Amino acid sequence: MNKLISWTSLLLASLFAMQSHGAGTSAGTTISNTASVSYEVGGAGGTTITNESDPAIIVVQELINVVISSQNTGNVSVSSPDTEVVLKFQISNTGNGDEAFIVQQVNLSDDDFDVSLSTIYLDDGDEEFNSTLDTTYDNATSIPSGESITIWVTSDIPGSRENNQTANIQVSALSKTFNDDSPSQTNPQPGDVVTSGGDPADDGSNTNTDAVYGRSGAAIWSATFLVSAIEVGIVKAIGEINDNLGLNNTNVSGKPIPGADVEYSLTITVTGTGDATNVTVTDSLPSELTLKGGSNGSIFVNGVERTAASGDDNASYDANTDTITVELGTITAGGSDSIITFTTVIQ
Amino acid sequence: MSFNESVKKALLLMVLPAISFNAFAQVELKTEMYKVIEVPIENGASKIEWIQPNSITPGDRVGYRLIVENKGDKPAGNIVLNNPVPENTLYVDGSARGANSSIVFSVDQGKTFAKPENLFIQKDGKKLQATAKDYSNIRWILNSALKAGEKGSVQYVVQVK
Repeated sequence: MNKLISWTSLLLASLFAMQSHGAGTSAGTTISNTASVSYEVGGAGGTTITNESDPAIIVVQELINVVISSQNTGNVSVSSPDTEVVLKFQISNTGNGDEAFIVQQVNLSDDDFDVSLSTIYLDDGDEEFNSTLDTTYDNATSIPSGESITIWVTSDIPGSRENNQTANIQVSALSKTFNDDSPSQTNPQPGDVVTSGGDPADDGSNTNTDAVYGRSGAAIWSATFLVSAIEVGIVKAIGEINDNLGLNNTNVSGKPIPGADVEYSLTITVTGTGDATNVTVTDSLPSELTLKGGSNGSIFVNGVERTAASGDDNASYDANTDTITVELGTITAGGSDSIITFTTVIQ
Repeated sequence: MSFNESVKKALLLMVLPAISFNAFAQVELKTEMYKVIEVPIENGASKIEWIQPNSITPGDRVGYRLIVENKGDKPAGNIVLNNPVPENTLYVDGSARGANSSIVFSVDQGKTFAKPENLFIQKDGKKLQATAKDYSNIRWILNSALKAGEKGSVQYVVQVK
């Protein structure tokens, strides 16, 4: 299945549809039923006698159910090539007994390319991916009923893939009890049983319950990698030069001499696919130049005048460090260029 | 009558009733349990079957059949069968059956019994009509006596939590 499943609906529908305590009565629990009868002998005014049945006892068997969920909704942007691209998943044991799950990842067809399937890691509990602190997932970690683990599935993206090409993979969680059954049950159906494959029975018999495959005995998740390299380019160009030697500070020679105004423009271009976020332009002027007007000067952002003062808009000039800073925020690739212009003075 | 004779007579009278309890009427109760499943039949319909209770898991339905038998040699009257709804299960609404009996339920662990329309629970200070999941006990009151050697049965279904 290449369809992406929304994290929220999958998780809620599966976990909270169960009756009580999330996963149902624990495997191994005994349900005992003792009925009683009362009756009279000797007609009216006779004595009432009560008798009990022997208890009818049922041991609740283990039901295997699992849910896999991810916060990766939509396509996962990658570069080409790219190494150790990480996808975060939660494996939740929604059955009523302890169970370990085997996690597999496969490349799907019907896409532009395959990725190199790499190591699957078990998160060490800090919900941060770290290939040295997190351990390789061993396909044998038992998850108690109603609890979850976080795993990191890594892939390497091949080179030479163009923007907008996609690769689909599928990650699945399979019951270890059914996989390890002999012969291995590789395609179990709801209602299939592994005799004595479940948690111990609480009836003092020293036996294990059976493991019964549930309606969600295995779980899958599809993810799509989208090659979407994004590049932010900046070009600085010199504009007008005014030597201020003419009447009313007009230009005479156009030469860059001390006291002359030199106009600069910065053109920012975003290419590729996706959004560049938190785009900040800094221009550390050489010591020979200062912004004309200093802290009272102006910086033009896409034709709109901004003050050199900081805090009031997205442009500022720091006279101490001789640096111009402009915050452009988020720019979508392929849109119009952003142009910043300002006038400097040669010291 | 001499003192000894009257004592013997008294003892005889005392002993006989004890013997007669065992000889006259003894009602035994047996509980059978089944897994209750729905089996599809033609035309998209399905039928209910009671089968061996193997591999019961949460969500499964369990059917209990109470079989009452008069093993004595005298009729037994005023027969009342009582069954608490087992722990970790919920009574399945409408499933209680018993030919020739009146069926009532309790929501207070067996202190009082009534028909469903007369059962109420308290929730957040409000009095609400009790529903099947509130029932704690079931009672069958048989309408007639069981003759010597006669058997009767009642049943109901629960769902495992």
